[in-house]
Amino acid sequence: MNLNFFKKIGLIVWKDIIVEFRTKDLFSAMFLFSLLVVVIFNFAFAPGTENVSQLAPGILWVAFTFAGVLGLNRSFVFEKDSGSLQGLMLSPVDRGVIYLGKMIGNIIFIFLVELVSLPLFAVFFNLSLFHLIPRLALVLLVSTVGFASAGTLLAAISVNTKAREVLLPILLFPIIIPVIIGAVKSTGNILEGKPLVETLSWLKLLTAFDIIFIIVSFLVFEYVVEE
Amino acid sequence: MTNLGYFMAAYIIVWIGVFIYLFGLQRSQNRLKKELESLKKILEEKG
Amino acid sequence: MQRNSLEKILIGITFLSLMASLYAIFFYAPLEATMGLVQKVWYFHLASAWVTFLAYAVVFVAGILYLSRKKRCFDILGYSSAGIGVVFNTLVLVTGSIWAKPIWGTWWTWDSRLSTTLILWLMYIAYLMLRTSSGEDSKGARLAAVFGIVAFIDVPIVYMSIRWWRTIHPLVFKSKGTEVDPAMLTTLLISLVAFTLLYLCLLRQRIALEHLKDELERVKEKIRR
Repeated sequence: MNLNFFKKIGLIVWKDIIVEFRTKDLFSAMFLFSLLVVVIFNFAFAPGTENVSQLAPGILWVAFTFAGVLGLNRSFVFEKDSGSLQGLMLSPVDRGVIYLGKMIGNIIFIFLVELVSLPLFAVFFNLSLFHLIPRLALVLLVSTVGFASAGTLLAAISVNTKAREVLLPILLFPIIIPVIIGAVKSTGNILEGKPLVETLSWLKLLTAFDIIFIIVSFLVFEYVVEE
Repeated sequence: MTNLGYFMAAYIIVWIGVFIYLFGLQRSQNRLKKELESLKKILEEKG
Repeated sequence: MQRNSLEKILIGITFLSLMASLYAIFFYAPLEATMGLVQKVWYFHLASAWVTFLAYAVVFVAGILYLSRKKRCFDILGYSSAGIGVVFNTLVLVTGSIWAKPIWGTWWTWDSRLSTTLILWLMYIAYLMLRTSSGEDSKGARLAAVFGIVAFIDVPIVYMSIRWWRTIHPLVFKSKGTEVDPAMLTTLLISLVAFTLLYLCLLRQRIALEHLKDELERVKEKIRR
């Protein structure tokens, strides 16, 4: 029974990965989008050497947030339009399992985009963050789980309305304010080379957000997709 | 330092806000009631 | 018939208590020494904040009840309460700004309470937008209920994160609570009661409006047949 539960989640994640691997359009769109945000912010703020460490975390997270919204929207709009969401609903799995599968799929995509963008980001802003990558990856992962846990639920809500994609950022951004604050603060701390202890309280907040939103979304997801 | 202007502004805004909302509710209620009356009449004429 | 007279009593009591609170604010409560007259905005400001919070809590509870019982009345309750909450939330932001200008010399600071109030406003505007774009049927009701629950759970986390984000806390309500004049406290209490009653009145009107809409739909359905 227990094995079955994880196997079902794994199958849903695997399905999303296969679909994405065939087309690759979502990944490339998200990656280019985050790159474009960095370019635009560069011209808007013209970060010099003296203020780059203050501006960089904010720019990075704006880029990831917008790219993430793009990914979240695609993950459900595609399912809904191709009718495969209905197929998922008809299959003998719990609705909560579908939520977890979709959420993990979203985490993987967004996290990959972030990891690939990070080196380019370092080049553009002239930051040496090679030795910081393990710490940054930890922050990225914890924040992305928070972003995707709330984002998957709200994307499922917005795809069921008339406004569809337009509604997602309006629903999502106020909710994930704690994630954005925590992510920007922790990234800033790491870029400034502060010890990990100072980032710990932010990581705790982010983890609390992750846990609360995964549990709550798991419980209420069935009411969102119910026909 | 009396700040009478700020004080009055705050109170006027609160009252205007509440009353606009209340009047809005009343107006749409009346509109719906009228519509309901006319529809009921149509229903009666139909039999 | 009985319902109507009850409503009249509610409206009467609300009117009287609002008058009482106005009287208390203007003539009974003492003038604050340093802030002067503008401090009296505080009574309505805090009362509006209380009603905002109460209204959103009702949205949260109504959402849970709707998802577990699937009764239309809980959906109406949540939707109506959210609308009234946004009205009072707007009043909190506006009166707060008007108070802040002469006291701090600025209309707005990114203090944790102010920021959380603004984010609350954005969340429940989003709730209303979700509601209008998802339709009046049971699907729209379910989606709105879920969002109402998630948003309310998120509020304490938002407040905490903004507090940590801004560790330097500007002195706002410093020394309030320790040395508040009892007459001020009484006045505040009267205002809180009056605004809660006002909320109930508005809620009744708002719910009656939704019932009228439902009735209209039923009659239209009958005519079509």
